[in-house]
Amino acid sequence: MNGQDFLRIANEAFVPFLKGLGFVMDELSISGRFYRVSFTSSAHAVSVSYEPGDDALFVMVFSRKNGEISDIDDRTKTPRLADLNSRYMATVTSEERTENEAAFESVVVNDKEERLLLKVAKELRLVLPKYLGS
Amino acid sequence: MSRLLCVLLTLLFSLSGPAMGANSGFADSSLAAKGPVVNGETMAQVEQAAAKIPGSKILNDIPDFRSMGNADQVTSSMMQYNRKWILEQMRSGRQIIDIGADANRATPSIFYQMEQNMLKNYQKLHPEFSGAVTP
Repeated sequence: MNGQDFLRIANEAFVPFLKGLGFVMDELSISGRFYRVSFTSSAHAVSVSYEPGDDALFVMVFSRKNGEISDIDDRTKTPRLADLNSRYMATVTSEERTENEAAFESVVVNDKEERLLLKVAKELRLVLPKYLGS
Repeated sequence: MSRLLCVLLTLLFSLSGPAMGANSGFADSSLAAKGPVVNGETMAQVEQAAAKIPGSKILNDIPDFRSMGNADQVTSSMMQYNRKWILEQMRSGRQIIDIGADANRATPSIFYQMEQNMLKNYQKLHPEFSGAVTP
């Protein structure tokens, strides 16, 4: 997965459901060591970043207050996807899972990094609405 | 054996100070007046920390080597670029702010480990170099 592939999957897998939750894609940064895209709503910001050399993927949900975003190291205000999964994934119903899989049917992935990015998009789509509604 | 010697000599010269690097353009003392360099393990954290420090600089200009070869070549090119970059920053006279490792990270960054080693070794060879500061 190179920077362009990252952007394609961000557009195809993340944008549709985040748009439905009131987020707009506002920043994109592609450099060799760091691909990042962020989405902002009035009260939150979602950052999806990938470090190609280390093969590390990060999804974080920031809180926004007066235009300032929460501290990245404060996991109570800036949960990572793993935190949201552990909080909410158990409450996801089988109907929600089936509907979720269908929502991503058209997204094509070509290698293991792209598959991982798609997997986190699917997870985020399941747990983010529960977090925002909590 | 001679290859190993060559690599060691290259490393020694590359870590050497302004006298050897005088023509490299890295030793421009006017850069000392510019903002600090921010480094750390996870780039999202580095980016957020740098956003709070006016004039700061981070490593955000590596070419996207992913489009240019297989996995080993990509890692090698990135490592080479990153190593040269951190060396330039140490020679530049800019203050280096190390925001540290990411305790939440599943696997340590090989790039951050390399930067830590470079900083440590550079300081051994150049005792006048103050090293990285933590925020």
